[in-house]
Amino acid sequence: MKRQDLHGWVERARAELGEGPEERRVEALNREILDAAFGPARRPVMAHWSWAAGGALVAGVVVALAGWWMWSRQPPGPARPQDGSTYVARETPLRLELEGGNTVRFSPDSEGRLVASTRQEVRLLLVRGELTSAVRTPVRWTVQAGPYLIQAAGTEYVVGWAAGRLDVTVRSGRVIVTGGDAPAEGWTVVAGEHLSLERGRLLHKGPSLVAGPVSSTDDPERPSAPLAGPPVPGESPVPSESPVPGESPVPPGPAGDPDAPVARGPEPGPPASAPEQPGPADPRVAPPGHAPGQMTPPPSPGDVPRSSTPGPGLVALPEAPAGMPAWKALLLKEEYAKAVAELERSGLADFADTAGLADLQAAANAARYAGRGRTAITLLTTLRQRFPGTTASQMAAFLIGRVHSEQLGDHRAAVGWFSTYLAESPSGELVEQALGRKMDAAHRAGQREAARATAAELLRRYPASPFVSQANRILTEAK
Amino acid sequence: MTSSRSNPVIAFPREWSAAELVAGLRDRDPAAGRVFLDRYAKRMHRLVWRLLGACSEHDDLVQQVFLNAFSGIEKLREPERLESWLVSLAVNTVRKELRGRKVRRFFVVLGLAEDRLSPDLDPETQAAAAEMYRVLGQVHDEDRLVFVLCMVEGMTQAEAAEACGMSLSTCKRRLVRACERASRLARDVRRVSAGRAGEGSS
Repeated sequence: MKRQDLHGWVERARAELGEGPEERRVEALNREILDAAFGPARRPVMAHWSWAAGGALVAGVVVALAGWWMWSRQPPGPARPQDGSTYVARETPLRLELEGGNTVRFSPDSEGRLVASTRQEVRLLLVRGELTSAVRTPVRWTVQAGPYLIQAAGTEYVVGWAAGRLDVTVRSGRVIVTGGDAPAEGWTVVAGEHLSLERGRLLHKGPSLVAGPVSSTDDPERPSAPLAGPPVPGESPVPSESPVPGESPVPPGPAGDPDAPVARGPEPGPPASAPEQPGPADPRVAPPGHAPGQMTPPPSPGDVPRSSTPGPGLVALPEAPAGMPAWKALLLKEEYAKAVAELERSGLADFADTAGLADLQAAANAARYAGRGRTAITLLTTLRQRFPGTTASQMAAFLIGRVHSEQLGDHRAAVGWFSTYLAESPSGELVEQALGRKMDAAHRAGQREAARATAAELLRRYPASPFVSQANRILTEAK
Repeated sequence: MTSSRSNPVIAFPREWSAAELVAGLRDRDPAAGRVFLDRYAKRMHRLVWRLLGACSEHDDLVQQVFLNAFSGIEKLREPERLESWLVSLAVNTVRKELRGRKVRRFFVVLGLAEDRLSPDLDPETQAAAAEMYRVLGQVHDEDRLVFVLCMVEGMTQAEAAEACGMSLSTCKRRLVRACERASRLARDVRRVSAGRAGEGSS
């Protein structure tokens, strides 16, 4: 065979072989690999023609049979969710009960992964099929389906993902769909609406043709009490931990991989081009006549009566009640920057000196979300002066630290405020967060000794914290 | 918002640089694992597929490549060389498999003289591929790796040398030898096939 013939022979062989196995097989194997590498149980790779492997196989079969026998004798109950686990619902639905009464239900023939589950954040990956989320507590809740990200809190919705098609049906509350070919601001889907996308093409957005809003009596899983809304400032232990525009660079939840954005260069786009995602955890407005300090679950699009029936693709925003101050009305429309501008126009100092606790918190959160760090600090500092010793005051110290660190780039000041929080609230619910953020801020401020000491304390008190890798890096650098 | 690091939600889709990806893998970040697989799984499947043919061990071998990568990512000193490092892992995995086959053939003298082909590849309809791997089964393992990397996968000799962990001159020498041997073997295979066909028709 001549060299030329050899080339032709190889060319034909290459053409016949193609690029490898078909895509579906590759994807299935990718899932197996991820399970083996990151899942709870590592799948051993087969060793061919090995007696040891054969023995292990037999033992595995025996164990599997025993396990199956024991499992089959157990009464059916909800699966115990484990972070990083992949869940496959084959012929019957699979329901996961998460903390706070939040549930995830995989419809038959569905597969998904619980990426992370904490009190502050739940992240799910829907590989295929259909997933119903019932979110009842103030928690940042995201479902990733293909290139799309569905964000919600205090809501109930169904996500379907198969062969490049995304279907989202919202039963109560509201979700934001971003990613893929979604517009910069994402698609907002409210109660009773359905969104269908196929390979980036919008097929339908409007009233749900299949499942309308579910009343509290329609669904046995739904609690009789109203759904807990997103965090109310001062009420929730983590009032600022929601997906809102202009949030922190360090994801607040332990599952948010806090060190990743800090340590690894590129971040999501700049605010000007970043999708404005009016998060469900909006700063809440105390209604007119509301006593200072008293909290009321704010109206969410799913709960508030609409002023008119929106056409397909339109999202009805709640109308402000008559007599509501302009800044509150703007806040209700999620126009944070305008709300803060209105406050500043009408006299920020007077407002700060006279407003109730709830209004102060709402305004401070709006300022944070709008990126008005200085205004936020003014409001939070006044809050601490006027309501000293309260939980809200302690929380304000933590938030001032965040504003300094994330918006003003003043890491030295941030270290001081996180220290203040830790001193005032030594067993508070945000201690782990405060330690992690203090460590990061100290590191950035060049306060090596403080960073090392905080890292050591963090590792000692929270050995499973997501800040651990960053703490280890800081301690390693010190050596 | 003054900070560009503003959105705390999962950044997806997101372009991970090689350095970020390596850092994520070192931190055991499942998101990084997913991106890693999305980015390189096809390439690795194609490479192993071409190095060994559509053999029945294919999936296990590709899985082994990635598990080795996940467990050995700490050893990668230059993140920008992630892909070439992964290719060399794949070549080493295949190399071990080829050695294992020799051992198996030694102990099991039962029709394992040629690589087992997966049902995915029908030898009747994909004759050239089947013939090529029958021929390559008789070429020295190292020569075979170089041959496939250069002739089938289309890598340069320098790339193939790096992937195989050998010098460029060794790589060139092995390629020449592999081409000569493959040509001779292919001619013989065809001659035998033609003879059999003649016997069958008579």
